[in-house]
Amino acid sequence: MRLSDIAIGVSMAMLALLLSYLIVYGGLGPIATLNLRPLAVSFLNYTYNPWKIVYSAMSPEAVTAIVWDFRGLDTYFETSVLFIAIVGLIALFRGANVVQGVSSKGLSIIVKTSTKLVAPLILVAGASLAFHGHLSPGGGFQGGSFMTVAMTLLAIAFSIEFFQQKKLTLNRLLAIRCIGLLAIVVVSVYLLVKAVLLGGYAYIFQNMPRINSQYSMPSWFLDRPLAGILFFFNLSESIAVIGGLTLGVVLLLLREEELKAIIGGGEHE
Amino acid sequence: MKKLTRFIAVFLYIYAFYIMFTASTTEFSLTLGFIASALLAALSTPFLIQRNLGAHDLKSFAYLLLYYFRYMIIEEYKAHKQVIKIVLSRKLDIKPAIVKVPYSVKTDYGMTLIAGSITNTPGTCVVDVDEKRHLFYVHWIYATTIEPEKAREEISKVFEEYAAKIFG
Repeated sequence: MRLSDIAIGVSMAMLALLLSYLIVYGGLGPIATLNLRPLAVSFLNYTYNPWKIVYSAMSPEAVTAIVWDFRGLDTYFETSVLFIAIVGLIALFRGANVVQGVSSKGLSIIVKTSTKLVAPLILVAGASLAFHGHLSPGGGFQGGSFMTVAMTLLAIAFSIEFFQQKKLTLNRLLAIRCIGLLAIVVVSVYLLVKAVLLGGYAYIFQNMPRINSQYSMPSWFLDRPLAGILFFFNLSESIAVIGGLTLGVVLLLLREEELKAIIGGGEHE
Repeated sequence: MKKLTRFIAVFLYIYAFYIMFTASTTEFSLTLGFIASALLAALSTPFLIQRNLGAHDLKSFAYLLLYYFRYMIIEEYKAHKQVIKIVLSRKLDIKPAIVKVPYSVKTDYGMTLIAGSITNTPGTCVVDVDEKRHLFYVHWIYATTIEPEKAREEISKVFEEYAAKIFG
C-alpha cells in the first residue's frame, strides 16, 4: 500500500463526511418545509380533479398539465423558437442537398445489422413516451428526441445517402416538421372553431369545459385518462421534433463535397 | 401470405418490446402501442426480413432462446473468470494481440450474432471485419495463440455452432 492510496482513501472519506454534514445542517440551502406554498397547492388541487372539471386539466401528471394546459400558449412559443432555430439552420445551408455516391457507404455490416434491429425498438419506445406524456414522466419533446436517436443512428450507420434513397429528403423532413406544428395549431383552435360553428363560447388552448363554455376535448380513452389536448399536443410535438431534429442532424452531417458549392464559392478574382 | 408472415414476425418483435418498455397492460397502452407497432412494422419489414419464413424458423427461434441462456450463464462466466483474474492480480499478466478469426456463416444476422457474442464477452473485442475473406479481426487480451484456426477454436467455436443453427 502506497502513500498515495492512503491519501486517496482518506480524502474520499472526508468528502463523504463533509457532504453529509452539509446536507444534515442545511449548508446547501434551506430544506423544503412540509407546508406547501399556495401555488403548489393549487396545482395539486386542479391538475386532476374530477369534481371541479371547470378548473382541472384532468391529467394525472402535473408537469404536463402545467406545460400544455395551464401555460399552453407559452409552450407553443417555445416550440416556435425551436422551429425558428431550424429555419435559421436551413437558411444557412440553403440549396444544399445530399449527393449520391460521394464517399462513404456507412459503417461495417455488423453495425448496420445491429442498427436495423435496434432502430424500430428505439422508435416504438419514443412513441410510448409520447403516448404516456400525460400519465407518467416524458412527453412530446422527450419522445421526439428519443426517436431522433434512432434516426441519428441510421444516418451514421447507413450514411445520409440512405435517407435520400428511401425518399426521406430534406424537404420531406421539413414537411414532417411542419405537419407536426400545424397539428398543434389545429388542436389549439379546434374547440374555438367548433364554438363559432355551433354557437356558444370557447377559448384557444381550451382543454376541459370551462365556466362559460360547455365544449370539451375527450377526457378518457378506453380505461385511462386522455387529458384531451395534452395527448394530442404531445403526439403532434413528437412528430414535429423528430422531423426538425432529424433535419438538423442530416444538415450537420453534410460532407465537404455537398457544401463546397454553397459556402466555398464566394471568392472573387 | 408470405409477406403477411414476415410482417407479423416483425410486428410481434416490436410490440413485445413496446409492452416491456411501457410496463403497462392497460387497454390504453395496448391499443396505442398496437397502432404504433403496426405502423413501424410496415415500414421496417423490408429491411429486416428478405427471405420467406417457414415452420423451421420456430425451431431456430427456440435455439436462439437456448443460446441466450447458455451464453449469459456459461460463456459469460468463463470469460469473466479469466478477466477477473487479470484485473485482481498484482502483476499485470496480459498478452494482448489482434488475431484473425475466420467464420463460415453466410447470413448477415449470423455474422452479427458471432461478432456481438465475441465483443460482449470481456477480454475479446471485434475491431474489424473482412467480408470477402470471411475474417474477423479480434483484439484479445490474453492471446494464447495467433493461429486463425486455433483462435477460432478458443474464441468463437460455440458461438458459430449456434449462429449456424439459428440463422444459417
